[in-house]
Amino acid sequence: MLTLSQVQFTYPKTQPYIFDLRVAPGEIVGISGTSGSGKSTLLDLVAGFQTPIAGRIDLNEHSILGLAPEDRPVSILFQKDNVFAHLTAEQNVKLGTSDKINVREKLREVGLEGFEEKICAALSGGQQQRVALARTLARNQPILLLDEPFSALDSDTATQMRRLVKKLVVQNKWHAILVSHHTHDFDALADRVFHLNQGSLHNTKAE
Amino acid sequence: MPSLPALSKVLWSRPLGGTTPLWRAPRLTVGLFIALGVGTLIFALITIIWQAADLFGNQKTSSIDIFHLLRMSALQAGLTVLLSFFTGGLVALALTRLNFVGKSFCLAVLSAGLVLPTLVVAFGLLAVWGRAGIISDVGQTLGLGKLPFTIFGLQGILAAHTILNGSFAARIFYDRLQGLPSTSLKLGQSLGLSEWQRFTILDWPVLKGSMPGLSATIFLMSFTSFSVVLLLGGGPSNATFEVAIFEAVKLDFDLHRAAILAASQLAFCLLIIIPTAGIKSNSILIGATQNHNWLARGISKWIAGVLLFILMVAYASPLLVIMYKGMDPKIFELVTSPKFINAFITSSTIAFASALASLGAALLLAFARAELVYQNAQHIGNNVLRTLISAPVFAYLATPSIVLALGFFLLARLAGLDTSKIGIYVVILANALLALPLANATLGPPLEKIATKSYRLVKSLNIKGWRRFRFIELPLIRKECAYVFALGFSYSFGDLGVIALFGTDEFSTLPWMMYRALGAYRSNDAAMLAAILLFIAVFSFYIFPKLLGGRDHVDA
Repeated sequence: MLTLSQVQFTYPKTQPYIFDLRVAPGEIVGISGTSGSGKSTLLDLVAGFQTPIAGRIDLNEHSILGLAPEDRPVSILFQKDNVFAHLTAEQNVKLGTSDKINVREKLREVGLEGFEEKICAALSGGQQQRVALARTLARNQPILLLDEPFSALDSDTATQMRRLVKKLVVQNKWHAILVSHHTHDFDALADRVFHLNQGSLHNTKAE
Repeated sequence: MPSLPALSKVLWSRPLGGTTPLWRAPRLTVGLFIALGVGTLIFALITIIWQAADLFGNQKTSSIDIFHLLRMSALQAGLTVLLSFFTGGLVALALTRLNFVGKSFCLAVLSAGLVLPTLVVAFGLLAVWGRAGIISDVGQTLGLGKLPFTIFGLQGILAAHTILNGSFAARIFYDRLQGLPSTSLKLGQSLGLSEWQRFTILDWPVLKGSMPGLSATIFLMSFTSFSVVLLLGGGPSNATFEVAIFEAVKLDFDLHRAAILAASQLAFCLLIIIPTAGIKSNSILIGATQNHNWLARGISKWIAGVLLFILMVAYASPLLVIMYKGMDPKIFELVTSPKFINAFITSSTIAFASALASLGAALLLAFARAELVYQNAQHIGNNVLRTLISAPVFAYLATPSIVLALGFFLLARLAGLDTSKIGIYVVILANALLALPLANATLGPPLEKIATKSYRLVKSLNIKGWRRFRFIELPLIRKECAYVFALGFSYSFGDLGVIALFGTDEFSTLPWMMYRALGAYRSNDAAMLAAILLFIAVFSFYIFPKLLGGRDHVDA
């Protein structure tokens, strides 16, 4: 279980954020909210890019707060720039993983078999997201942070990607947090949805 | 260059998509006149230089070893590029990996590299590494004897050029690295990339992308360096074209030799400029776009810290020593002397007038280019007009200060004018022209960006002329205008290149006064003048944007 307990953070001269959240293995929790409401800050806190002023962030009852971003058991998918465009798909998948990883197999799982030698700059936005997803698979970290990963994709590609992400999260029992502006992302993926307003999370959907 | 038929079609028909004749687009017309004026002036100066021997009947030209001058100029310029990239790259990489109190001060010091008077930097190196410098003093106090090397020669030139250009390169590299998307940095950090992976995957592509344009700029600045080579060159074996031209005019009064040298330098500069002209220039004013710092940890942090400390000390030590040596009790005596007051007033007048002229010309040229965007017409004539407006401002790159000054000098003599009487106007004009490319590169892109973003609204509301400038453009480019003015002022205040041919006892600026003091072995006076020059150049560069710049920005 990924647990955020009374995690507090504040930017200068702004209202403080207080986050309480639990994410079960294989669960995707959606976070909605207006721009600037703190959605990305929540992800930054879990990823270690921001340090809370109080509270705990635990994975299976072990605190991850003391860990640097590079040491946290976290994978991230952003809206864009998820791959280094001048590297090949294989090189991108291998980053942050062990050399023994079977890149071909991981790329096959995301539907990109045979794309190993392709430079990522030559791939479409959807294919680049798949390469990033293959790397996420290869790293197999228990926490997956999704920061509007489908916003830059066309409708059909986004639908395919949503299905793929959902399947992989359930299959690998990752703890996933999805930040988005789009209700159809939540409809397709989220087990629970929270609305971030005035610095705290409010439950909007439960299943 | 556009062909004549294309030109005539542009100028006499309706160039803006068949909707607006040229005479109804005053901004465009004014910009064209300025561009043509600048172009004509440069062309006239070059022609006069080229024909100097016939015009002045000077036949006493002594032998010229062009190959030696070319080899020396190119060698020191090439090595300067390498050293500047190496040191500047290390500083920029270290700065992106560290967060510390005083980081913004370090960045300010690096930015000031662009406006540091070259004469002052050269003198600062002498004050540190010269025979009577700080290091030598300390060595002798400790009984270590004299320094085993001399600062004069290629090593001195390279050291001064690396301080000037390395700090400039560091600032540019740092800005580019700050332009890396936050997401890429977060991704890299989250993936736990090693320092080597971070460098090769994230940093190197950015640095590499900046290098072609930056190397051409640094190479040209070093190739055409004057004050540094004059002071630290240590003799004819290390002379460059600029110094050889100066000596031909000022010492030997051999105008024919000067003309041949100027023409040769011009040709070599063009050989560098033409292949690099297509490289897209980047605005000097680049705001930090990043909001994520990936800071180094453990041993990497220490290595970055130590490297940064060593390089910043190397960059700043000559300047700190100048300030220290300049704090002489006799400074009050110096600054109240009539000669100083006279030179200070002349320097201030020249700097103020040339900065204003440069800003005005750059604004008018940028307005003209923006007008093409406002008209929003897809017409072949627009490209021709854009080329016509933009091309002359780059003339400085091919005609460096000493060549430009020589052209004016010859023009004045040809017109029968007393060079000592018209000197001030020539120096103002030449300095304004010298600052024009940078001013244009700073003001052009934001004005075109404003035009691109707002032309539909501006046209629909019929906002024209002064109202458009006052309410739409000025609020968004005040910072850039202030920066251009500050840059022009500081640059002009510390310039020795143009005044070198016109300076006399009566017509003197502070850099000229300092150069004369050095030549007369009055090193205390030179130290005090260097400190004053350094203070004024850096202070102006700092204070003008504060006083004149608004809070708004084009990216806001």
